[in-house]
Amino acid sequence: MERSDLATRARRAYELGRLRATLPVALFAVPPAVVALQICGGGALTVGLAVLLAAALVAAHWRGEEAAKGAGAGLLAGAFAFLVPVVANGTGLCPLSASPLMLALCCGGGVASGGVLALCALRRPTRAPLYLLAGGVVAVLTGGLGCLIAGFAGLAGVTAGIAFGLAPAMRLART
Amino acid sequence: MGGGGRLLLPGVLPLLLAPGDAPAAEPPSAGARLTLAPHERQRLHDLLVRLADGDRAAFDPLFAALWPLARRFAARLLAAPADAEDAAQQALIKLFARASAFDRRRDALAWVLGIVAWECRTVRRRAGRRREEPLGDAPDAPAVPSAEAEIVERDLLAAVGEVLGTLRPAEAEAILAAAAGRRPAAGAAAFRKRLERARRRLREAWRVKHGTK
Repeated sequence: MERSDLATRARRAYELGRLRATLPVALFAVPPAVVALQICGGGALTVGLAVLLAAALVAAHWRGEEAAKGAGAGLLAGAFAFLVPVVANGTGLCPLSASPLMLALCCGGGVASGGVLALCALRRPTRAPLYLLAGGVVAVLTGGLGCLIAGFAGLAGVTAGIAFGLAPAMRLART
Repeated sequence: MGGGGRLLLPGVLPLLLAPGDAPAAEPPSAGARLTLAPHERQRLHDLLVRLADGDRAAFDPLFAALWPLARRFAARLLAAPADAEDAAQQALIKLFARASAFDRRRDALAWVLGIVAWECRTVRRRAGRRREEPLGDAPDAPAVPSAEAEIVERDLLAAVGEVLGTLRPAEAEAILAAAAGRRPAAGAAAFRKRLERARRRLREAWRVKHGTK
């Protein structure tokens, strides 16, 4: 085997090995998915969102340390946006519906999640956009699983909230 | 342990033995050394850590550093050049496949040599099963007592490389430094103590893995 062929095979082995090593992180998508399915029922959208969350987690860890740390922070930050509507629904404060109050909770939870993620990003020595990107995507998907209680409007609300909370950090990362 | 004058990781094998049992090994020749200078070793470690963290830019320099090392080590463990080449290639591919799981607290060189030694053993076993293992020596090899002794020595060295990979970085460092005949100018007493501790752990690891002293 030529040296260049060996290098190509070694690189492929590295990427595959890395992907295999990161697959277990997909399990982190299971608890929020199970809770969301319990609350929202077996909606295909919930399952689809959970699959996307698992894929985003794996992709971030496969990509590298910066994205992996961003995804971890995004998962934690997104848990907040996820729990707000779930707890509100569980306590009977907002029954399962797309009520304005639920929508506001999704937006507010999203802003808080975005803010937490932005703070995490600003405390890091380097302001890598990859960290914010991976964190933002994972936070939206995690929070979105909870906000599906309010339907598409809830998903849009949490996305807008997280984007709003993250905006200052994104602007700083670009400079 | 015939063929003591051809120790491939010079000095490592005697370190496995109790102090009184150590045979008088010949001084290592420069060509037989597989150790790296401290800065090269650190660079190897840094590159491996970067690759484990997902920094793809570390791939090419790491490949360039590891390929000759793996070839050299495999060539010393296997008599047939084709087998050595095959083992080095397979080892390198496995090494890169596991690079993401590299534990940064471990010594990179010991980790690398452990994988190559393991692959050499696999190739030798496979060759043995196919009854293709050459029993004779290479034509240009220096005088060796017997082919059997050489095979025993190679087996031992492969096993040593493997066991070395299980030690703590500082201990593996001490063993390899002693094997290469390097002694720190300052802190000789501390080095002796560390080496003694490392030898003890190496013997213990050997005993646990192979069931013999």
